[in-house]
Amino acid sequence: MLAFAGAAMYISFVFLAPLGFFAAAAWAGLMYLAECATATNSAFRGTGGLERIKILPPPPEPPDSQQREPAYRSYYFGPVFYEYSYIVENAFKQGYRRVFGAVTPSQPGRPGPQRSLVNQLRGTRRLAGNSMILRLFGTGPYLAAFVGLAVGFGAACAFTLAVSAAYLIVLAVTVAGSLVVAGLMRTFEQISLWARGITLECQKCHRRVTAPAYACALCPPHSVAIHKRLVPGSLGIFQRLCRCGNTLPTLLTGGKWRLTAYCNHCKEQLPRKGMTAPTFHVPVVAGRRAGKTIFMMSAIAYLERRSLQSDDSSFEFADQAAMDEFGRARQALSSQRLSSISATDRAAPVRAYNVYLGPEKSSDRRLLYFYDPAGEKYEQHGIRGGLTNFHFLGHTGGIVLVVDPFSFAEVRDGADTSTLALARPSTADPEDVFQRFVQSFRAHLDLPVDRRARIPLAVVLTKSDALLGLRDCAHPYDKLTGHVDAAAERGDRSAAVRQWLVGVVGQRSLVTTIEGAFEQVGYFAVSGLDAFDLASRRSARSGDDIINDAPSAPVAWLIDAAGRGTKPMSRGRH
Amino acid sequence: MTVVPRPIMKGRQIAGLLLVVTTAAMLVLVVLWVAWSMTRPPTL
Repeated sequence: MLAFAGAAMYISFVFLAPLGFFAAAAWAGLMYLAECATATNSAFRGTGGLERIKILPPPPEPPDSQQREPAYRSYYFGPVFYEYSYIVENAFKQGYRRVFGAVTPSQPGRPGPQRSLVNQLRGTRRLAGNSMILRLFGTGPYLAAFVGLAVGFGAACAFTLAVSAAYLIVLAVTVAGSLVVAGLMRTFEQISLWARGITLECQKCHRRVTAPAYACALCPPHSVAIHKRLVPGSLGIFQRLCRCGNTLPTLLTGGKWRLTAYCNHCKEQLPRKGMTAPTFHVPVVAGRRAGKTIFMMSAIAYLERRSLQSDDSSFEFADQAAMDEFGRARQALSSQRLSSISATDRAAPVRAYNVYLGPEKSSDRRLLYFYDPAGEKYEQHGIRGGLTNFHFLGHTGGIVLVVDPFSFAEVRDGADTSTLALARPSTADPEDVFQRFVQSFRAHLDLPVDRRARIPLAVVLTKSDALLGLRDCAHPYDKLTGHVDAAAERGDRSAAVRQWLVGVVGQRSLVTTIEGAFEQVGYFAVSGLDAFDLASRRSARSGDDIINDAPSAPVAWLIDAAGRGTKPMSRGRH
Repeated sequence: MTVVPRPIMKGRQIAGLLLVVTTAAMLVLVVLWVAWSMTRPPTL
């Protein structure tokens, strides 16, 4: 009997115990891994709360007191680590309960409470009942199974730890790679903007906007999210998630330019489609009633008409204010009641008038900033004069000097009362206005007095249609013959206007002052009556048909001349 | 509970997929290691 018991115990501990050990270890390991898989699956594929992974955007707050960007944190820049640590912790607890716990609580998809493996193993003692043989043979595997459960659980824990470590390395490499990509994207965009000469300036405060704030297009109107730093980063590499759930591109190439942008200094709305084309700033300089506004609106009307006719979308309004203002002026221009175009309000701060010129996506496209301050600003004297705060002069790409021919006595003397009433002559002396402007212009650009500016200047003789009606005063283009070569014709026309200023109205001093201050000077004669189409008009003096310059010609010339900007010019007359 | 926006769900799914791939790679490594250790000659 004792020999049998000894043999049974021997078989139980030597042969059966290892079987029990390995079976229990495998079972415990599998159970633990199954719990890990379940926890991972429910976290990564489920709709678990976002609060615990610290990804939520801040609640809506006024943009001025906004500390954080109103966007979700990128899932890979932090939240995924919180999520995974939660998964590991949860998986360990569930796995431990499954193997060693007293009773595993019921879970969704698992009917009724489950007994842990240890409890199930204890239950197997009952299978032996009172049978001494089963007890003798079962003792070895029974005890070994307990050890197996612990060893299996430990091995599974070690495996999940190894997987976690490898996973953390994979995530860290992914995040580091994303950071590098974000940095590269930001740098590439900056270099691309710099290479194309693209900047953006505020039309109200006139400061350069380096980081515009962008508004989400789909936020509710009462709490529109303003993204102050919409660039690749920890909130998203190529796009970010606004607090409203809308995705916003972080790069201009991704479509950021379609969003409404605001100045980061004064919060003013910036021109539409900003940073898609280089800017070109054109101050329009003249005294009161010289025809600055009419010239500007005529140029806009002419550009718009040409664009509509050719259907090449080479003209576009860049903000609603510009479109509204032009809408009011268009009526007066088309009915040729130019005097009904109201003068610029001298009390209002100078605000740029923005339009796009040039085909979309072409390198010739420019965002034009026209500045049309009230004429009084150019006539004020002293250091407290009107030009002190003209910070936009620092961005100047080209200048338009508007000269009213009726401001010269030689022209007024040859005009009858009705012509004068129609022309409404400017009382400001163009040379005074110009000198005051140049002084301020040099100060804003830190230009030495003895150096000519390379920025082009267009001298625009307005009200040229009224000149045609004078019998005692010639029109600049009276003796101009047609030319086949457009460039040569431009040269002839420029020389004709210059000659008219020097020879007919005795403004040699004005011309000398202008050409002494600027390397590139072009001369033009335009009329507000040509706002939509250039018309040939008969000169009362010579009887010749004369065509003035297109109102947009000075602007086109300025852009072209600025492109040649750095080339040294001989005494510029174009 | 907060509604989980679609991009975050997508991020979670990709993270889950990364974990599956990592686990599979580790399993393969463990199997290879076991197979390699079994083929080694016994040491004294």
